[in-house]
Amino acid sequence: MLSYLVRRILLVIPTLFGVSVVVFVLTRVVPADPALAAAGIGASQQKVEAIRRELGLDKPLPVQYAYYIRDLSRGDLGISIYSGLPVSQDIVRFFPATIELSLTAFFLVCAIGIPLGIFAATHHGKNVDLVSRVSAVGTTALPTFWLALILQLVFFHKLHWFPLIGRVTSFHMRPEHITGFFILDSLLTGNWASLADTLYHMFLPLVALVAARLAIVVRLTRVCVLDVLSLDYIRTARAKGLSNPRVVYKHSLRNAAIPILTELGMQFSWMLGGSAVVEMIFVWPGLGFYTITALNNMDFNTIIAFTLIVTGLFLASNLLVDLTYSFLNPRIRFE
Amino acid sequence: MSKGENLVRIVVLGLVLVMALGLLAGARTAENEFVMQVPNYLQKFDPQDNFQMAGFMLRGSYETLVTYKVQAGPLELEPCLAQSWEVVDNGGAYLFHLRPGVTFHDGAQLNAEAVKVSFDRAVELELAKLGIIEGVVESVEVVDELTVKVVLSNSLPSLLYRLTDFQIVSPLPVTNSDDWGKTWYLDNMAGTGPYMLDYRDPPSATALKRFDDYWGGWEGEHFDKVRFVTVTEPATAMQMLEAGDIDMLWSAPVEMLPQIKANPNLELVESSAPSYVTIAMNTTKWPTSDIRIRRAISYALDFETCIELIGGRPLADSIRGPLSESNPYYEDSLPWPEYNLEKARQLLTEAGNPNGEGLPTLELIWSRSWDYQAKTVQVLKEGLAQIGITLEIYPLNFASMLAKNKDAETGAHMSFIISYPTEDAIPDQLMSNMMRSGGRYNWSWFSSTPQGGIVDYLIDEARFTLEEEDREVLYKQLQQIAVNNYLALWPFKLTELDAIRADVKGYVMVPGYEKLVPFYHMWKER
Repeated sequence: MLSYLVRRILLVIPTLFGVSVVVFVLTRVVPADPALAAAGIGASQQKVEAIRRELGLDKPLPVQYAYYIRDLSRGDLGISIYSGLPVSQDIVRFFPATIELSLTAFFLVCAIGIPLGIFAATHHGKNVDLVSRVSAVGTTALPTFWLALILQLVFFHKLHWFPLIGRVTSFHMRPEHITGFFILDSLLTGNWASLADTLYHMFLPLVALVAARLAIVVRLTRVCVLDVLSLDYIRTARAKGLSNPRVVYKHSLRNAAIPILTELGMQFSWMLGGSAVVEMIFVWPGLGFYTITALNNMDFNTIIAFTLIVTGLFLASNLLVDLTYSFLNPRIRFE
Repeated sequence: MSKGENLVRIVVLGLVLVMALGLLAGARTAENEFVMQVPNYLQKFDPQDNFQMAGFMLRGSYETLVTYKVQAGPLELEPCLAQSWEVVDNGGAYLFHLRPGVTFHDGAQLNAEAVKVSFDRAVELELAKLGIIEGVVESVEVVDELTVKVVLSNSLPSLLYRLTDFQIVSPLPVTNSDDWGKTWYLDNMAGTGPYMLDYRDPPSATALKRFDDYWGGWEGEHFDKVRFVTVTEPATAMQMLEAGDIDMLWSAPVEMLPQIKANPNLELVESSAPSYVTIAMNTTKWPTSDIRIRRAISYALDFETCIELIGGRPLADSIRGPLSESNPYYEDSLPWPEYNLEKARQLLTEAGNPNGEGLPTLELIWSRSWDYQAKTVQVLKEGLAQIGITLEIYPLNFASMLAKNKDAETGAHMSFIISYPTEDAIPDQLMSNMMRSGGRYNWSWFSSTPQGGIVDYLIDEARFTLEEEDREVLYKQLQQIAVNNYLALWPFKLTELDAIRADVKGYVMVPGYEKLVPFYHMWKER
């Protein structure tokens, strides 16, 4: 197990290396001049050349990459062309908002999706099962950005029930900064108004993020649990007089869990990267919002940093999912 | 009660609980606060290193030696940090007499030394605003405490217009650092303007508060606070405006004009200086290097349909050439553009390409900023298709456009440009940018052709001559060159519109390239 773990961790390095090469080359070969974009339309030619030299863009591509890897090994993600600040500083600033939204959405997907899926499986063929299947197909087909705009239109514009944008109503509603996670910081400082404001603002972005993902988890859980419930040993368990909850949750769920867990791992990764659209529409000041702004401004260092971070998190979540397999099913051994 | 009913009750209860959170949530805005939507967050706060679209925000905090008068009419200069000025040394220098008693936000006093530091800083750090003075300002000298001399490399009648975009910064962060204040000014503000930095909440908002020691004083009605909220989606911004969460949009989308007009709580403010839509044609790259082909393209563009699709008159209207009709240097003998497919086909035949035979696919590049651009290029594409020319349209972001058009060889056949010809200003920068060799938007590259060799000379002569009559002749000649050689298509001009809450008073659209929102002169009706 330990050797498997070490091997998997070591495999992360060449994966990240490969991703960095691809993204680095792509950002350099696109027909755009980031030095010009950074300098601005009225800037002098001297200014443009100065920026180009400062960013190392006047050097050959392999040299640029070598410098980048050297700096990366020291934890230096470069300077943002757009803000002029270190990319790592910007990422630390924006990362908590994305993680808070993504983790909360992921928790909701698990907390609602799995029970609903089990419920649909155990009421297979009844109205509630039909409703869950129809709504699953419907919500999965909805583009997230469209759903986000519709939520704003209905719940803000028409009904005035929820706020439109942002993490909190105003700068002064933010909790005292401890971790950057507003929910956690509000709880730690006992700032209930800030907690309420944060949750209130989070509702619509969460719905937009959760809707399509929830349907997938519900459907998959339903199918997996149904599969297991049809097996002989479950029939035996029922024949022995075990209660339905015991049969479902103790005896069948664990066997149905592996594909569900695999899907959840992918969902988490999707939420990290896919939250960018939601962040743009709700002006949620997270990494996605920051990176899309960077994309529009040809901010290469930011684009590469974001890609590497999401890749790293994706690999980590995959590893975590793989490791939990052996806990769920002792027959699975990692060598 | 069934499990399904229980489930529904739980969902409804949860929804009610979440909505109840709203009761604990904060109120919308502080009183007497002006809130404006911006499409991009202002990352860098250095006014001298800023040509970002959102850089207009800094105009509330930083001032210039001279400025435009806040009026909807023609552009008119008025004193700002310089109370008066005079031209000396036969046009070779300007003496600016500074306003006494002006304080920066950090407590420093405005004096000649502070102004010199601002200029020297832009040169030393090669900041973006260096482009305004590079090659024209030779040095800045301190004459006395409140007098500064700007020495020119050559006489330059348009200097004052250029200086309306050169902000003066406090010298304290410059002298207290090793990098001329470069790092400090990225994140902080220290100008002389009526508003100073309150807080930053990147990327969501930037807030300013009133500077109590502002030299203009606070008598009368003024906003106490100004806040800029980043909202990239026009639909979202529109909803906020209607709900009163913001007071003004960055710009009013054409497709939302009927909605804005129908809302009694909103108002549309028009600019007196419209934006000009231009499609430059590459005069060095075949087939657009052939003037007959360029003429054919011009005849194939249905100008009236473009105007109709944008919203009709008076929102959009026909133009002829790069200058505004109310500009004193406007050449009014220029021909109006004409839509005539027969003439277009005839010209193609004369060029040896009947019905477009033998012509390659033309490429047109444009930046995806405004909806009307998409409509215009589609009309052009359809018109060209009718005469046998295939047009490929490539939407690019601005950086990619600049890279594509870095020289004539790689440049596109046609490039979309939006320009802002001012009404009374000397059109030196406009003409230089669009026609002179090395000009930022010289995407016709005509100046590098044998026929266009005179263009640079004419622009330089017009820039430096002190004689008004000579200048007029030169600018009219340049317009004739531009139009008669079909350096570009000029489909229409478009009235700039701003959408604002009806209870916000004092806002006028000051024409000019950079957006000017005169926050200090605005207030909210109670």
